Amino acid sequence: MGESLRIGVFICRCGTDIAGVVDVKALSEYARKIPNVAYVTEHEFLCSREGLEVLKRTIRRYGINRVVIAACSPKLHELTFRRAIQEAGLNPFLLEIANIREQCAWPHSHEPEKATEKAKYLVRAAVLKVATLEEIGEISVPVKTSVLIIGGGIAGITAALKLAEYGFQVYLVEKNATLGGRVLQLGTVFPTEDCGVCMPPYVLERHRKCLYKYAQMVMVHPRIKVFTRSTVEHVEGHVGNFKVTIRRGPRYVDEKDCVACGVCEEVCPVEVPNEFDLGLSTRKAIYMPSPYAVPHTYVVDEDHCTRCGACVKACPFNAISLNEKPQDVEVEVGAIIVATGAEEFNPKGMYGYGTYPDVITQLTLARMLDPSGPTKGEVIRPSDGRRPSRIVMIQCVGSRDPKINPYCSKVCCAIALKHARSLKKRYPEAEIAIVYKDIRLAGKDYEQYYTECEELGVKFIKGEVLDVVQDPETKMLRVELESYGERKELIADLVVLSCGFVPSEDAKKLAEILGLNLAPDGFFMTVHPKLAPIDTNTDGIFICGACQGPKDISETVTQALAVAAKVAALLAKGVIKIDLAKAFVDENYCIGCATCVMVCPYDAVEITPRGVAQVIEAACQGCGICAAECPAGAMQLRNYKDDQIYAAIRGVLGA
Amino acid sequence: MKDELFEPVIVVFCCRWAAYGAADMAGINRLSYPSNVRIIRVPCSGRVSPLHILQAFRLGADGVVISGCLEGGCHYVDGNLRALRRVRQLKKMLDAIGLGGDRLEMYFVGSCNLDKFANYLREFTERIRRLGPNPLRLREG
Repeated sequence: MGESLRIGVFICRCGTDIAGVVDVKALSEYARKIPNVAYVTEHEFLCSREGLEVLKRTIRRYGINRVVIAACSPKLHELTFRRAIQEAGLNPFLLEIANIREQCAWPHSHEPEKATEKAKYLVRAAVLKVATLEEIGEISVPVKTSVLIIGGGIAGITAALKLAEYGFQVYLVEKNATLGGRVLQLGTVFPTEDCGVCMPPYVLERHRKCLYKYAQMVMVHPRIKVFTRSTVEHVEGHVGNFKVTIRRGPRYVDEKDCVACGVCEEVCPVEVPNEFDLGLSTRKAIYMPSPYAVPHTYVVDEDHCTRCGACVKACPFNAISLNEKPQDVEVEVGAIIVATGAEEFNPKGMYGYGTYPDVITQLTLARMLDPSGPTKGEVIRPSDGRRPSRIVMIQCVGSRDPKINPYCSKVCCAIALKHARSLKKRYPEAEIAIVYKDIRLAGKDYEQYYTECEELGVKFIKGEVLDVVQDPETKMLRVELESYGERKELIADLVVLSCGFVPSEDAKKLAEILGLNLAPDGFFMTVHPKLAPIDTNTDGIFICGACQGPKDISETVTQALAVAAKVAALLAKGVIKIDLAKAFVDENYCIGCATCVMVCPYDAVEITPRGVAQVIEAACQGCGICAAECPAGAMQLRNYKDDQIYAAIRGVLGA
Repeated sequence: MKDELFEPVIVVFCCRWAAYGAADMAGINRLSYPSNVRIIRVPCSGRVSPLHILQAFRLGADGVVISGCLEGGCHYVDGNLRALRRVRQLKKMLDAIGLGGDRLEMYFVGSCNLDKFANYLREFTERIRRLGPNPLRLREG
């Protein structure tokens, strides 16, 4: 700090975006008079390549040692400018940005004089603050070469296999008793129309691989450890070094000993609806979660088990123990991937769903169409088991409705048309009508569904369904709708609701545990939908698949592979550099009261044996809560120290 | 207030996540709010200590706003709630010393709540306009 301050102020005209409102000349004149300002210049577009060159050249030529940029929001180009001044030989933190576009030119465009006046105050604040800034260095922190993946559906499985292939240790946590997720229930999947558990070729492998095999590969992979029936309970640490507590729920059946002979199931006296088939079949309290369950092991449903012990006695391999307790396992990982997927919207109370058994959802229909499903591929009316002959599908249930979910769930159209086509091929005599708002089938492989459905005689009716009621005499369903301003009525013996996606019910709890943000619609929020589609606000935690919004399988797999690449790039480095724009303690003032320890959300402060606070820099996220709470003024946050904030206050108030 | 043209000077501490984002979005959408609102960016609303707020009043601010992420949406878990707690306590103190607790307010906004953000600032400005200039400023002339 020995050398004298030479502050350079660079004002960006941003074409006319700033200069069209703010009087840039007057602003320059004003800036020149602020103490310690050695040089002021204007530029048309500072963020352009040429602008950055001017910035660097000017810094070198005029011996500038502090930089103020008066331009757009620091959210846009702070990093760009930090990098530029670093290239010019300055510490990247000796920079302040006065946001004269988003905060002056744009919101006050109708009163240019006031916008200019405000810009002066913002520039003054930046100059006064930059004068107090100090160089900030960085440290290197080793990175754990393992990763936690939450969710064992198609996204989690894909990412797990890819990362294990790259050579990283993977911990895969699935809340259900089987891997595979929603895809297991779907029967055939578009656009390739292969069976839901069978997926298109996996990257470099030429032959078809099915999800079932994938899941098996996950199970046997030496670098993947699978936790089924498990949840993430606690996470602490930071990018490169997370400590995760996984709660392993009891299966009550030992995975290693169980051979899936099914004897236990035969003796179990409890019978309940099978959720995998959405109630189309029943299961026992000890059951195989799905025909393709991986691990292929029985599991006890603790909510319905009466603890009678019949299965324990019957098991020829002594694999069952009803005394199993949940177990907490701790793992250390360098990164975390959230792949918890989505659920089908529950249309209870809409269009007679829940009242009339013959009003079902597309997922139930998918279970029926699945050749290995509860009806062996036969479509039936749940009320009487007869084959329906007049089927009406209703689109956009729970989607594109401002009162429920405003968003389009994107895949329901394709699912409906896929099912309509299958039905028409299987039962050519059946009448099928689809009532829609818009048919949204984007993508090169999807249009064929529409043309084929039309050729096969599926009726498309643009309109809005008002209600579905049952005729008390004929027991047929009357679908009342409005189409082009006209009231119409369709008679159906099966109504299928094309429901949208909603976030997984655990999303909120998980978001809290991980410190992630949820969008107002309840899905996990990405940093940027286009440019950072799998990143979150917390370094080292990523999201992929339907947990961030409705997605089809191919998009989900693409994201899972992207996330794998991103995590690999992070972990492969072995070390990460962390800048020290973090909290620090002035030991001369610290009284060892541990207020900072209590208020830190990241456990990033500890009290040393000498009785003073110490910041764990790699864990500190730089929020500054400790600095505000410290009663002794000993805790400070670099770049936002008290005197630095005071300088900014003086600046904006012209004091 | 005899001076009808009194334009209060308001210092707004915005957390760098939702609050600053909402301010940016307001700008991007050309949503106007009083131009005497001057924003200071802090990492988290929880970084703002009572000393910073008092300093702003001492140097002549007519009103001070702390703005952070929505409840439950704080980028730093609960920094916004800690800020709220401090604001509540400080309001009482400001009442006690005669500056008036109404000159200080905490607003939670989501980064997409640009309308809400602009409305808060308009309302707050109106409130301060009714309260008149910071008495400390009057005294110092």
